[in-house]
Amino acid sequence: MSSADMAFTDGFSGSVVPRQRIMFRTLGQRLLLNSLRLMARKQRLRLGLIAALGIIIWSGLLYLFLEGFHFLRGFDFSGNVSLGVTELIFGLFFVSVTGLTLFSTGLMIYGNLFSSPETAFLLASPARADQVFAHKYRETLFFTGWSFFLLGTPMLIAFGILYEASWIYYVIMPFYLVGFLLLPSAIGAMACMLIVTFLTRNRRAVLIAVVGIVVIAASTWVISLLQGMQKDRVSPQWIEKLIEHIKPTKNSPPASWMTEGLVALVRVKGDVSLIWKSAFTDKEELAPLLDALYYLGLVWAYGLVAYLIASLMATVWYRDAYDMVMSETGGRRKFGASWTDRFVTGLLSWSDIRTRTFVLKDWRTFRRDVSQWAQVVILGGIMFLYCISIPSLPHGQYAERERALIGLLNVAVTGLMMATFTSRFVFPLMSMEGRNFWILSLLPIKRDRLLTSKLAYAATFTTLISTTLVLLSELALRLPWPIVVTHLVGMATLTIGLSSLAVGLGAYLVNLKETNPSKIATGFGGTINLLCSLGYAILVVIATSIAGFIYYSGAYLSEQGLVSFNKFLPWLGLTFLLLFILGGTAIAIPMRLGRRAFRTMEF
Amino acid sequence: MIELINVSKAYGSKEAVRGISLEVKKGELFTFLGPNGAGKTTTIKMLCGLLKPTGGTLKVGGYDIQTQGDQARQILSYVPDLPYLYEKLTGREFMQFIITMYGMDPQAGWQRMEEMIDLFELEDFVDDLSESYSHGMRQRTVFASALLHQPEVLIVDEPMVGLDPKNQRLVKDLLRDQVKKGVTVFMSIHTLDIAQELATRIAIINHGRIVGQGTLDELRNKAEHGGQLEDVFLKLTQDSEAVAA
Repeated sequence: MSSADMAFTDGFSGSVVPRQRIMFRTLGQRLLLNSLRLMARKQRLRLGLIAALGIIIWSGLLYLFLEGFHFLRGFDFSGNVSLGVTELIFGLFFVSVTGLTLFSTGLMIYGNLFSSPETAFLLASPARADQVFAHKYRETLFFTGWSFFLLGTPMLIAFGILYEASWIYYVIMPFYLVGFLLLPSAIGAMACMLIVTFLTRNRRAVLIAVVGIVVIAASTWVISLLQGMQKDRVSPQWIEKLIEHIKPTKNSPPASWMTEGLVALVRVKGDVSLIWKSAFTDKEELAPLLDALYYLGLVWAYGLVAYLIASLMATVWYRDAYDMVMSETGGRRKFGASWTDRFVTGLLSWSDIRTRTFVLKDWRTFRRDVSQWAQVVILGGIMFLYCISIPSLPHGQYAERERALIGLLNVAVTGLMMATFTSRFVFPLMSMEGRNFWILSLLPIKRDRLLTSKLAYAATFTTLISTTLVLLSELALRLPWPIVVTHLVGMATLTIGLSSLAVGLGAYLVNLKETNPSKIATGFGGTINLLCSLGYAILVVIATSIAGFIYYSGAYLSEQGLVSFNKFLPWLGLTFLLLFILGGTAIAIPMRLGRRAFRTMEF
Repeated sequence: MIELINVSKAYGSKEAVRGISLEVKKGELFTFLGPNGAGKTTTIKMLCGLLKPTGGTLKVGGYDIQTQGDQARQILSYVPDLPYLYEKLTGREFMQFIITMYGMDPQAGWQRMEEMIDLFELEDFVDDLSESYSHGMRQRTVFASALLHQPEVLIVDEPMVGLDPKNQRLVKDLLRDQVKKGVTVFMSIHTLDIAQELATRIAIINHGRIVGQGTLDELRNKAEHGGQLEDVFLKLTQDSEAVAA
């Protein structure tokens, strides 16, 4: 009997799967431990920065959630509805996370399973297909889950604090969070496997169709939500109508299990002896704990069953699917036939030919990567939803100043979306050059031009999209032109600065070893960039709000005949100067850091 | 030990491998030659089970790679042209991973690893993270890992690329030694003088078809050219180009 037969029949009979399971778990732990050790030894500053920023953000979120839940607790229209509203917010949150996790896992696991050099290595070894899948699934879950934990833990801890939950709540709550991610991520993985295996020829069309259906369904839901609300101000009736529309999310599993379970869990009393006695006497006392455990069981059971199905699919189809992906040729392309290429070239006609050439290279790379543009379509869909909902919001009866505040909030929301957008798509641009860097570095041009071309690429697109959205919302809000101009200048300053931060920091914190852009965006550099971008967005929004405040203060006081409006013009000028200084700093510092790192980079 | 029966592989409408048949016996060093894009790497990837053939059968050690792929991969080792190492593992940790992967007895595996460390002179860097390795160090580590479980079949794709003369010599000696021990080596290579120096038998592939197969003398006869392997190779590939045209 050969060694292969030994391994698969008697020698290791029944032990191959557990052995490989332990092996991959050990591998994952060792990779993580070595990375942390390396950071602790050589990159203490980096590790410290991550820890400090993580703590600051987490604490800030905890504070915000505490205040939010406190506000909801006091929001009493018709008796005590606070817990009901909180349940609805939980429902909405968990439904949103379900959708986002499903999509992001599906897209990320595609990259991890089919275009990672590690999987090629593992599939050429005796590693079982389901074990390779499990290994890459865990990795994907780790990358998609951390932001959920960053947002979810302060929210649930704040909920526990406010409703005076016992220690049992804090012990069981993390299991809810971990278990919750299993179901949507396993469904995402299943969808990825099915699409790759059975839709080889029409994968692109199917993806477009799926994304389109999701966007249309969400748009329909939002439109139906906003219908009949136009003429109301924010009132108890308005909130009640909103609650009626949000209710289905509360009843959609696994979000509903999470909500029901956590609400039951917060009611569990922490006295163990009382629980023990209740087991024999008053079963009523035990009901919240039993409910909490029942829903936790549901969350985990469905999640694990979904994972098991995904794993079985991988056992049967993964190798075939891998072969199909590797056997694709992508088809021939006629040079110069793409209208989008011509559009991009036209859009950048203000720049020189070399910059345009670099931008076109990046654009072609981007549009040919389905996983990249599919995410843009999702983000764009969310923005579109937001845009179409603006005219339907209950602002009709508001005074101009209140509408201006809504306009400012629009700038803030668009800015935050753009911060996410640049962190996800612009930041990885430099790292994605990867092994091709030597080609670029040997070109007879200054390396700085590569950076400026990426900045031109990012800034042109993001500014065009964001200012168009803001202009549309300002027109819908019927705001006066000085406010429209202020908001547009604020938005342009914001997006150009965000692009510069992403390009500059992308070069400074470059990761040439990683080929998956999602991982680059969610790694250390991407996180730092996201945090800096959010901080910068907040500063620009504050500066823009000061300009609005000065404008309306001046208008009010001049209306009262107290002070001439002209006296406020220098102050308005100063706020614009403040905006330009902020924008200039956001361009100068990261680009300088990026240029310096890029000039000295060795290939 | 390796058997390809009428194997084809298509990428969409493009046929990369067209009905090739080969047999490599135990203890042979079989070199697989061909111009760029001829179908060498595709054939090798099918042998490892990374790609599935569009038609035909591939067997390694008697195992059909499509139906008994796990068993086949248990007895083979594949060293690709761009070998993979986990950047955040040391060479020793990587080898330990391989030992577990192939289900070796831990104690025997550890002993074997020490032998490989000595053989490939890895001692100086085996406990460093592999992200700091040079190309030569990476290649030596990959070869050491590939031989840990004492494979019956060693499949090597372009092993000499980027190696200095000392490391090239090391790889050549290693391959000879493996063949002496009865290991079957299937090697794709562009350096024809090394192929001529090492090969027991040679196959030349062009446009997905085998245009010549056998010992160097048999190939010389087929090409009707008595020169070096380089001349024979050019003659056979040119002839096949003419036939294709």
